[in-house]
Amino acid sequence: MKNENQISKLQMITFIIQTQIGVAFLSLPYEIHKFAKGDSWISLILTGFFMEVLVIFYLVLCNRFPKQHFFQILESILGKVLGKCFTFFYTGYFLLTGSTILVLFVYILKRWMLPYTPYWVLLFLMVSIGIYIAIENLSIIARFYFIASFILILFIVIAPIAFRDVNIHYIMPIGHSGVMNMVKGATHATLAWQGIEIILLLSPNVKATRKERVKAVTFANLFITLFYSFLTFICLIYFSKEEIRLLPQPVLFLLKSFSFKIIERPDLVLVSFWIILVGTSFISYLYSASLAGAFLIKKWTRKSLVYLSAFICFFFAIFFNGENEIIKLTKYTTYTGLLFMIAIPVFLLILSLLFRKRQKGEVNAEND
Amino acid sequence: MRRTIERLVLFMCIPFFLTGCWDQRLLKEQKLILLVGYDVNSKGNVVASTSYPISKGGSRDSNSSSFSKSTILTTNGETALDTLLHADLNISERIDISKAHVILFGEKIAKKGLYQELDHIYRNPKGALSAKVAIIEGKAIDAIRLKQEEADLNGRYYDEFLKSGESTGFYTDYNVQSVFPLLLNHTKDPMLPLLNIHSEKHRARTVGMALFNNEKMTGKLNTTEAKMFLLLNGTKKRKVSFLIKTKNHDKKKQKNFVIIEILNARQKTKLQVKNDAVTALLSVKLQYRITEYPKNHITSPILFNRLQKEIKNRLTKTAEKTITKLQKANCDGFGIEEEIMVHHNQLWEKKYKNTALRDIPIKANIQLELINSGIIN
Repeated sequence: MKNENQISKLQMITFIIQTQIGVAFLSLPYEIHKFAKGDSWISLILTGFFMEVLVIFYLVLCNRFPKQHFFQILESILGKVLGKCFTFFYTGYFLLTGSTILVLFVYILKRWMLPYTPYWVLLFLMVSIGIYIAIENLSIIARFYFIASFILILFIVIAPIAFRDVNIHYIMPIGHSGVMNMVKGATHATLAWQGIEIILLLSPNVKATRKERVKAVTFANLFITLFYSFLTFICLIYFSKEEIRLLPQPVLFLLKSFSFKIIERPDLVLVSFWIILVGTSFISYLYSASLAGAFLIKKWTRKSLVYLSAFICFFFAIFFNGENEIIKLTKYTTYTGLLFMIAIPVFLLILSLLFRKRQKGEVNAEND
Repeated sequence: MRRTIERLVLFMCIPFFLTGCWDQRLLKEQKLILLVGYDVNSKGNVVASTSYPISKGGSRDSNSSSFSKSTILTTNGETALDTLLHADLNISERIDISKAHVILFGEKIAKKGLYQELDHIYRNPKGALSAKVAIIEGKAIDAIRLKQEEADLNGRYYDEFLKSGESTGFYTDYNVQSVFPLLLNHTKDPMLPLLNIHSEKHRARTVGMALFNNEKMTGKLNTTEAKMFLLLNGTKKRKVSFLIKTKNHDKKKQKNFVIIEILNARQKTKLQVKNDAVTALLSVKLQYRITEYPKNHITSPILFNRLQKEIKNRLTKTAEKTITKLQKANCDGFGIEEEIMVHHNQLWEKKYKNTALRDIPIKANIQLELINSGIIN
């Protein structure tokens, strides 16, 4: 059983990347452009730096409890009752994020590709894919994520075609929007990094030394940062200021404006691949929610909890599908995301440092 | 046995979840419109003329593609999309504009503004963003009715026509997508191909470029000026030919002229700021060859210098004329306001925001270098 849940460091990298890249990146340039204008790409690099610090915090926390996963850490630091409480909150958070992913996914898909298909059908298809993979053990999910990562290469290869038709003047003068706006943009970009908390859950299952872990996590973060800023940069020099204000999904619009001899609408092809990226994020949240649930209710197996959490997400998503509700929902998810992704783990780390709490028994289990 | 039945039931259920059932678009139920022209009538309504291929004689004949013909439909409406909805009433199948090759505008509607006609294409996820855009002198409907002989479909004819015009350097390569920022952005203006229709000769003809101020057409350039604009702007670098009249009034008319072809162009836009006033300097270094010069052979350096001087004079005059025309039309095709915004941002905020082009003095500086005069001197 233990062996099946072990993953290698390469799998850890792709796991982190796949969890983070999901729905948000299609609209990322638009969201940040609201604040940072032509300097949005700088904002993203700023966020990348900030996230790197956060990731190191995560690893420090995990290294103090090398054999325990996150919910056990919660319990050892906060005590049994409070720990369970927080695990419960985390379950809620994972379910909320999972539902948000579903809602946004269907919203974009209906807008771009399938305007006449009923809402619940798309939802159902996504949820069933999610269940299909999320009930498997960790190493199988990780293997799937590794294969799915090749899709990212496709995005990286196709997007530079835009260079035929760019106007570098759109992002100049560099630094014009001011440091405050850049920081504002950077804080709003954190939603795109949501999913990084998966490190906390994966950590005990990774076969790697401390140093390798730091390297792997840094690499994943670097990749994400560059991927986001690269796409954003291209969108910024391809679309003018006035134009990007009108395009909520600039990455797709960018792809739509290309046309090749054989494929006239590359955006449709890439939307199909994008579905896989969304799927992987959704699966990660299903997995996390079921893991948390299984820790709370010891009697139930994780498998049955995957079904339950998928059902909750489906049910939730079916009721929140209006345009205004989506805006509200993303807002809530961003704020709760900041709380659960940054505030609580950092708070835990501080507590464990203050009270010198470490894993009991194997204090020197550094070299496993 | 039970398992088989279970599976069978499952497989029979799956097709109900296939999304194709809702969002399918079958070719046999759709009329693909390849060419659209927009005009405005005296009441101010939009008139759309569409041209779509119809196959005659059925599909038995495998070589029937060469016989394919297109039909024309003209409809009125309040807005651009409304005209197409009206067109749907007249067609046996559903109308589909997502595969349009070319979108033409009559002069009158271009003067009212382009964005409102293109808006529905930007909104539509299936919109034809790579369709080319051109302006027709007179009415677009004449262009669509044209019975040309060079291509089997009118849509393809204009597509190829505009493509060749771009490569010869008559106009810039703008499609629906690349013109979008210029219609919105106030710091640079679009310039689109301008065509003329000779219905009797069954031909379209390039007239030059239509000048726009934001989204409204405000002027015209002829072909020589259009070529000069492309050189000054740095969009076109080679394969542009100019006919130049040398000074001597020879009785034999042909001997007054020389034709040069540009082989390489290096363009630079400089802004000179003095006392918060910007002067734009467009300098371009042209390497050229002489492709026709009936009058003389270039044997001595004195002759050559005289000729080069003459060419330079003429080209500079053309450039100045082009710039004056642009200024008159208030069409910032060079993107000079954008340059000011980028390089002198504070000055732009203070003084040049949404300024008229005629308030910015623009100078042209042309330098010439002869590469060869063909394979003879």
